[in-house]
Amino acid sequence: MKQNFPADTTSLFPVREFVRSRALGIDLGPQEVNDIVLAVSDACALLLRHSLDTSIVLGWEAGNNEIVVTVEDQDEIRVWAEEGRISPEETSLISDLVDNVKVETLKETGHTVIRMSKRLGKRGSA
Amino acid sequence: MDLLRIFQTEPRGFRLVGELDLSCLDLMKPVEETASGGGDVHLDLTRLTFVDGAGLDRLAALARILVTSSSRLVALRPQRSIERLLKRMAAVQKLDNLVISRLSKMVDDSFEAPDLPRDLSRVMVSDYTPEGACRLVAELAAAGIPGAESASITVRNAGHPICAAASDHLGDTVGALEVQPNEGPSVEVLRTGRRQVSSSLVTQKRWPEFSNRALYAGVASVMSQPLPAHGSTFGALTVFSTRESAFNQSSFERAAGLAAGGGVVIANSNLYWQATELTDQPKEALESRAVIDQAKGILMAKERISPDEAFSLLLKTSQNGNVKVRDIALQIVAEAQGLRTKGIVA
Repeated sequence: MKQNFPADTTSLFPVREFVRSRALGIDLGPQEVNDIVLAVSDACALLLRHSLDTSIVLGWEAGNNEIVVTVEDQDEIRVWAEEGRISPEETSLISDLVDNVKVETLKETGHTVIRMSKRLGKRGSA
Repeated sequence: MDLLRIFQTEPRGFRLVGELDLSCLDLMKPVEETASGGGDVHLDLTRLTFVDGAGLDRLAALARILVTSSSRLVALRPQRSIERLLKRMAAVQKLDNLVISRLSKMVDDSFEAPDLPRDLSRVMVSDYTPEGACRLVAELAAAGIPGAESASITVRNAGHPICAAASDHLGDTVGALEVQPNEGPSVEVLRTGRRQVSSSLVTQKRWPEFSNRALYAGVASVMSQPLPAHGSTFGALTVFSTRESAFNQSSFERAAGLAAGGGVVIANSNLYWQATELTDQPKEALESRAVIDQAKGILMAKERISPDEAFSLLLKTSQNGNVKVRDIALQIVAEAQGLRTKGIVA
């Protein structure tokens, strides 16, 4: 499922509420819930710092074995200058919280997407 | 309501309540200004429930400010998830002067609690729904009552106790535990109108079912204070601790002071929203609003003030005198009518 949020720092709390409610719905442990909430919130904060756009789209997919969350800006005109790119240092906290994190620019749209995945333990299920 | 609130607890100590993220970094400025003066800075993180990467960076910057004066940043009692993040940050950024302490400043005699009456006096009831006002009072209680780690507000609804709001998840959980068995400290407060304290839920079994459930949730001692407004007890302010014997005389005094002011804020908020929303009981609400509007008009003419200032004056008088806004308004209208009858005013 996908959910739009205004590209504003005041959206960070609603983003966390959204992710927390989804994560609790698949019976993750408290630590795993905290980790995924922080990772997604931080990913949104990174986009807010780097993006000029007006909205962020949050995607949530929970399968049997893993959760995949994407946060995507809707910027179509901005060309990413080298200094404007999200650096690996900036995603290091997210990397510690999820199993995989990838920042990519979609060729067809120019949108920037931060894709995070976290494997589910024994408690989690879709 | 602000996502983060910062209370200065001592000259070089602050308590952070809520969530620290990119949206509220500017609120950290007073802490940074204090840090630049040199000397250790204590941050009580007991009630900080979330911090993001930007917030961690800000805390790291604070530690680096303190390095210049060979001072430390002491993080007091952070929640486990936040402690883990702080340790990671200290390791990655090589912050040797960041110290994490499990010691409670709250039980120290030297602890200077937030100025609760001052915090309450700043409250505009129109900014808070009744539930929001309850949550605000619960948060102030958790932040400012010595020994308290969490708090909840219980009120009567159609004759039954309900947990109206809590400072955090623990308060929410434990506050709700009393409702089903209809026993526990706040139920007792609603019944008796008197403060209830259990210094140990392990050994004292006054409320057996509540005690067992609360212990399971990690609570070891509890204190519940009547919430008074307009001469009667309408609710209970209950604080919890994971330690036994957490509350002392100082806690009782702070709780009584906060409950007295907080009770009026909650009651006034309730009245305000009843009067403005006009959804339930429209006739009574309309009458309340009409008399309040009349009183506002009288004050505006008499004091030469704006409508907002007139309403603020009504609220302030209400809070100072522990009297409902509607009753104050009725009094003002009645006085004006009496003067008019006597021909003193036109």
